[in-house]
Formats: sequence, C-alpha cells, structure tokens
Amino acid sequence: MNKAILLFLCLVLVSTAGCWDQAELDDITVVSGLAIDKGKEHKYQLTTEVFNVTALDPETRGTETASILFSLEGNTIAELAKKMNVIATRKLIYSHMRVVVMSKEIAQEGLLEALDFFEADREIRNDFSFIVVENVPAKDVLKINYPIQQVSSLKIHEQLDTMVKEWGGDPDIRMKDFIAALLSPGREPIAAEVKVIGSPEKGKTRSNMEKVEMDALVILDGLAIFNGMKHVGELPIKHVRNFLLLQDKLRRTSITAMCSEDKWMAARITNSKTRVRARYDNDVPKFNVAIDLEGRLETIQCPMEIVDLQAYLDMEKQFSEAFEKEIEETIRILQEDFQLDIFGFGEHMERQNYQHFKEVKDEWNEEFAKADIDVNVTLKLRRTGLINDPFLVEMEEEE
Amino acid sequence: MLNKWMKKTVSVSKKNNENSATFNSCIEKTKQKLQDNFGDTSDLFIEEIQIGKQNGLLCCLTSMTDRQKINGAILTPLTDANLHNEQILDESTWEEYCKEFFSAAKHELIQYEHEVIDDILNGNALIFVDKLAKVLSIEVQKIEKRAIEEPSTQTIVRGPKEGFVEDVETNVSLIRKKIKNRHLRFESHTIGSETATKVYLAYVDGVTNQEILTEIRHRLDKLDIHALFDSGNLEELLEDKTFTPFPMLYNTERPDIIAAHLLAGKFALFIDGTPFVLSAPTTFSDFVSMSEDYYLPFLMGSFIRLIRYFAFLIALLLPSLYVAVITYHHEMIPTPLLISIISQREGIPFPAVIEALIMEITFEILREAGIRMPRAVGGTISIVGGLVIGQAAVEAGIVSNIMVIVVALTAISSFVAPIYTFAIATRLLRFAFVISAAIFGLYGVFLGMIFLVAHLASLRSFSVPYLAPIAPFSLQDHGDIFIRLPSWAMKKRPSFLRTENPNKQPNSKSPSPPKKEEGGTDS
Repeated sequence: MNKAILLFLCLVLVSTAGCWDQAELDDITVVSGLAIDKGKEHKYQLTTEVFNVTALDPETRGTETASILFSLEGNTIAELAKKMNVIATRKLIYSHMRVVVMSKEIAQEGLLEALDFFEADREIRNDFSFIVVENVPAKDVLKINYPIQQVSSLKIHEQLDTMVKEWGGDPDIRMKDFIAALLSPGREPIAAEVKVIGSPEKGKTRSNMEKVEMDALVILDGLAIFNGMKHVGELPIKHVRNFLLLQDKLRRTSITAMCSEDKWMAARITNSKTRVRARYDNDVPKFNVAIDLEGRLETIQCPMEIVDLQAYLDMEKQFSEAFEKEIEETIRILQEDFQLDIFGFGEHMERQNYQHFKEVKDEWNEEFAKADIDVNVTLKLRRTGLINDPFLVEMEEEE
Repeated sequence: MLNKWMKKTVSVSKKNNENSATFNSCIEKTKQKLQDNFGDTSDLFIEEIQIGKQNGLLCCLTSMTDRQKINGAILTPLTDANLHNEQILDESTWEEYCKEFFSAAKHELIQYEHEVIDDILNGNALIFVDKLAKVLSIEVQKIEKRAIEEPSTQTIVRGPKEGFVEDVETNVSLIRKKIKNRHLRFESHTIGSETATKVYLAYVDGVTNQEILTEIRHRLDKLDIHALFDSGNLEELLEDKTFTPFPMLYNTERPDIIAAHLLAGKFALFIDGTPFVLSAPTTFSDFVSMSEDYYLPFLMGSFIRLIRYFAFLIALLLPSLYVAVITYHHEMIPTPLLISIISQREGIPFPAVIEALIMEITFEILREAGIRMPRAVGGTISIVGGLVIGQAAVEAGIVSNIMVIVVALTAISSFVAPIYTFAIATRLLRFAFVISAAIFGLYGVFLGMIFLVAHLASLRSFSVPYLAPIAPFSLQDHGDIFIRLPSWAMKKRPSFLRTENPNKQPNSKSPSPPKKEEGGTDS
C-alpha cells in the first residue's frame, strides 16, 4: 500500500515537472536574424526577421514574402526579444538565428553592453555571425531581398560562409570569437562589415527581385575594427584575406601577381599554414611569421615556358614576394594608422614569452605598434591545371 | 475382420479379484472397470475376443487409433495365433505368446490401472486376458500430421527451408538428422495434468552446462499446470522473470537454429502439438541474429546484423525522438528541415504527441486486423489501411506528412527483428517512450533508455545474463555479436554459456592457397 502511494506521488512529481518548456511547432515562429539600431526614444531599436514558412515551402508557396520584420524600441535587448508579441502572433524562438546586424552608429558609440544577453540566453547559440552595417540603419539590411535566398539573414549568412570558403573575404567572426577577443589582452575585436549599394528604399519591395540588375544589394565590405567596444575604423575587403591568413584560418584563396609590365598571373591557394614565433629583443617585440602556401597556377598572361623548372621557381618567388608585400601592408596599416593588434600577436607573445608579456599586457597596443614583424611567405606551386604550356607560348613558337 | 471378432462371444469368468490397481480379474469386471473410467464416451471401443483358448478383451479409443494398424498389428497376428489354440494360463506363457505373435508392432506389458488409462488415452490398443494381471499394450496410434513445410515465420533467402511441425516425433527426427552425434540426448517429460503433453528436453551431453540442465529439470518437475498447448504456455512458466516485455526463452520454427543452439551448449524443449521449439539460456543478441547470417558471406552477414541492431533502435525510439525534438528541442533540427516540418504541421489540430499516439494506435489496430481477419477479406484491409493511415489522414489535415513517414519507418523497422516475441517487446515500450518524450523531451527519452538498459542488465535466462557478452563484457565472445567473424575464426563456444567443452573447432584455420616454400602441401 505504501509502495502504491509512493509510486503515485512519483508520478505526480514527474508529470508536474515536465512540459514547462514545451512549444508545439504550430505555436512558434522561427527568428532568422536580428538588427540592432539606436532607438529614437529608447536606447535600442530591435528588429527581428522571422521566417514565413508557408512562403518557403514549395507546396504552399504563393506571392507572400519569405520573411517578415518586427521592430520595437526599448532599453534592453533581452526584454525586447520577449516583448515582440506586441506585433507577432506566435512565440519567437531564437535558436536558429544566424546573424546579428548592428548599425555603425551603435558600434561607434560603444553600445555593445547588450551583448551579454546573447551569451546568457539558454536558447540562443553563440555562433551566429556578428556584422556591422556601414551606410544604412541595420534594419534596412534585413529588408533588402534577394531572389535566390529570400530570407535576408540567410542570404547574408550564406554569403559570408561561401566567401570564407572560396576567397577568404569574411573574417569568420562569430559572437563567441568577438567576446573572446574583447576579453583577451593580446587582441582587439573585429567584425565583418557589410554595406548596401543602390537604393535601400526600393530594395524593400518584391519588385526588387523581379529585376535583372537589382535596385539594392547587400555586399561585403571588409572589416570593422574595434578598440574595446568602440568601432574605430574599417579595412577594405582585400585585407580580410591577410587577416585570415595571419590567424591560420585561411582555407582557399586566389592571388594575383605581376609577371612583367602589366602582365599578370594568378594562383589558387589550396593549403596554407602559418606559424608565428614571438620573442623580445631589447624591449622590442619581434615576430617571425612563416607562411607556407601550396597551390596551383591558374593563369599567366606572359608567354612563359612553364614546364621549365627554373620558370616555376621564379614564379613561386614572384608570388611569394607579392603576397608578402600585401600582408606587410595590412600589418603596417594596423601598426601605424590604428595601433591596434587585431591579429592576436599579443596572444602569441602571451603563450611564448609570458613573463615579458605580463609586464606590458595593459599597454600591449603600444607595444604592437613598435613591434618588428617579419613576414616570410613560401609558396609552392604544385601543378598547372590540365595544360603543360599555355597557348601563348605555342602562338609565339608558330610566329 | 474387426466385425467378425466383435461377434464372437466369450464366456464369462466368475472369479472375483478385489485388487483395484491391477486387472487380474474376470473379463466382465475388467469391462465394467473400463466403462466406469471412461463413461459412455462414444469413441471407446471394447470388444470381447478369444485369445488362444482364453477369453480376452480388446479395448481402444477409436478416435485415437488407426484402423489399418489395428488390423495389421493385432487382428492378423491374433488370427494366426488362434490357429495354435494355445492355453494361456499363467503370465510367462502370456509373455511368450506376446513375443511370438505381436513382435511386429511396438508393444509392452503393463499391469497397473493408471498405466492402462494413460495408454488408452495415448491411442494404444489394449488386450486383456481373462484372470491375468499383465495387459498387452500395442501402439496403433493414428498420427495426423502436416507435411514439413517452409516456416511461415522467420523466412530466409538462403539456407534450409524446412520447418518444425506440430508432431513432436517428427521434430525430434529433424534434429537427429542434423546432428549425428551419440551425445545428443532427448529426455521425455509429460506436462499438464489434463493434456498430458509430451515434452522433450534436448541437449548435447558433455557440452551443455550440467547446472543449467539440473535447473531446467528441476523447473520442469516442479510445474503444475493443467494444460499445455504451445511453447508460449511453457515459456511463461519457465522463465526467470515474468514481468518483462522481453522473451526469456528463444523460440523458433527453424530446425537449423535449434541444432546450432544445441551445439553451442544450450538446451531445447520440444513440445508436442506446436511447431515452436524453445531454447535457452538465451541472450539479447540471439534475438538480433539469424541463422542466415552464417549462410551469407561474413561481410554481408555482419552488415545485415548491424542493420538489425539499428532497426531495433529505430523501432524503439524514432517516434519518441521525433516528438521530443519537435516539441522541446527545435534548435537540434537543421533550419531548412525545421521550416519544412513547421509548414507541414501548419493547421494540424493536435499536439505532436497526440498525433504520434493516434498514428501508432491506428497502425497497431491495422496490424492486429491484418493478422486476425479472414483471409478472404485480405484485400480490403490493405486498401482501407493504406488510405486511412496514409493519404486520407494527411489530406484531411489530421496528421502531418512527416508523421506518416516516421510511423511507417518505425513499422517497417519493427518487422526486421527475426523473432516475433522480441519484436512485440519494442511495440509496447515504444508507447512508454513516446509519453516520456512528451513530458520530458530528450531528457525523458534518455531517462527511459537508462531504465531500459538497467532492466535488461538485471535479467537472467537460466543464470546467464541477458546482455552477455556486452555486460558483463567479454571480448572473446564479440566475434559473433554485432558482427560475425568468418566461420573458421570462431573456434570457441560462447563463454557465457559456461559449457562443459569450450572448444568447438580449435584447429580451424583460414583457407588460403599453399605457400611456395612449403611446396604446396599444406594451406
């Protein structure tokens, strides 16, 4: 008898404990991305982009839009995120959120304190892309549609993803990386930056998708550089690849070098390895960056006999030198113009020479600015595609 | 010929013998006693006959005896014998007489009343001689049996196609034909106070563990039931633990499996009247393997076996995982899939768990109907069932497409388990898992799994752990659990069966072409 009562109590306990976070699929709306702007009356304006599932299902697809935006103003993102039902009908779930777009205004004023919500919330993943918008309010980026990926957040997400894989034009900074960089004394945070070209007003409508040359497009625009939580400047997109390479995160890219007067050649880099050695020499931080690249020759405009070994070695040297210059240029800009170590050289120093780093870690950026950084690129061309000599060589022989 | 004998009148002996346990009284009394025992059942046949110069009585149940056999084994020898006109006055003459004239058929002399009754019930014909205690019992049973056919359950593509039948003697002979080993033993037991069903305990002497044999003999002797119609009745009485959905004795219609089990060191129980033969001790892995695994190339055999384990998990968990993920863990579904599921569930009036239960119960009903309905209406069920469970339900917006896929996959997976009694365990547990998933999400599913594994680990089949050799772990036995090694690599019997002789083929080697240095003599 006692056992039966105990069992009954257990059952009651069990059935009252469960179900608290249950949400049926027809009671939820999935958020694809967020935009944070400065509010007019309050501190923030939060815009959520949600999926309109019926428009995404091939069977039920009609003329409605694939995503819907809701905007609210308030002083904390956390409250706004749960208050969205002022406008929306269903419970918003944030676990599938892919991007958080932030206006430059917000970033410049250093209003990033709201970020802790994204870390603390149990539902939100910390690996969404973190993006700054250059020329328009963040909200507008989510409004601009695109016929292949109709949900703007997904479009940006996929754009960034592919860019990293194919050329290395996105720093691949997720929320967790941004916060890690904020906390690290040997690194300053950065974020990807996008901008809108064309007219954002026209980009909002469906008719934008009906044009061959669209009225508005979201394009990647490089890096946003932060000093602590404050946005201090930008780097154009060509430097992003060099940034990735210095992080040893570059997957694939294509580089171009000059082979003679206004004649160019390009190589596809398929493998890369970066090693950084850090030491102190008479109170000057010294870094040796050894970059090993592997790739294949893709095009060459000079009539050069590339089956020849010496020609190969020359080409490798030309590529290496050109790339070296590019990387040094990127480092120079950061050392001289910004005096901010976004590359994490300080982290290398911390690992390799902790005793010395400990003394300078509070003013590491000054140390970085005077650092002596030696970049050494070694490129190995492994093959030349499907041909031996380019047709230019054969044409010359015929003449 | 029988009629001729029936018409013969036999003089009545007046001698009275009060010994009720034997039949050494006069024919009239014997007849009376038999009639008292059997009442006026219409199939009791009692006729007075002449044996030599003596009066006698022939008694049998016409329903159990073969008229042809009575003619051949009794009436013909009796006619021959009567030509000699012998005097049978004492028992030694009677024994001589039996040996001389009835040796063609299987016969014996019995004397006690209970033996007489048992023999009549078993379909023997009895011959009583006036004033003699010994009764001649001759086997003239009518054997009605099905021909040996391919088993209707546990079908295979490659391998022996014969199956057990209802007649126990045939089943025993099927095994004896496969194992020509003098150590193979069949022990006869009779079980059931009213059915007196013959049960054979089979084992290979010197292989099967003696303690296990002692235990099964003890359990068989201890049994007190009135009727035994199928091995299922016996299974429930013999198993170590009744309160479990998992079968604790293996059952099969396939002689090759039973033969393999006997040689591995298990015992088997043949029950008269059912083609399902039991074997034990059994483990979880037995129910996931199939004799065909050994007949196919070992790579394929191993692959199919892994598929079966996987299908077991699908049959058990898929609906609960689906319910858990779509009601609690939306973040676990890839975004495009989530969107597609949401748009399919748009307008479904029920929560996912109710939807799952509706579909599962519908399927269980269909399945039961499919088995029970008369063969003639078979077509109806497939049309109605296919429409109800599939298209119409989806089109009416009661269930979502993806739910139909989940239930269909689950159903198909549950048919993969080769042994029916094992497959139905998953059917029952599935509902518990779905409800647990609906209350707790994935946490509930894993809680359920923990309980299930704990329960499985607590089970014993005749002192062998049910999860052996996974828990307790023994690496040596893993050559035949999840995968199957080639036959030559399996040199030992399973260690968890604690056999008397652990080696089955200690000298087997991998077949390979002769090496050149060795001159091609040995492989």
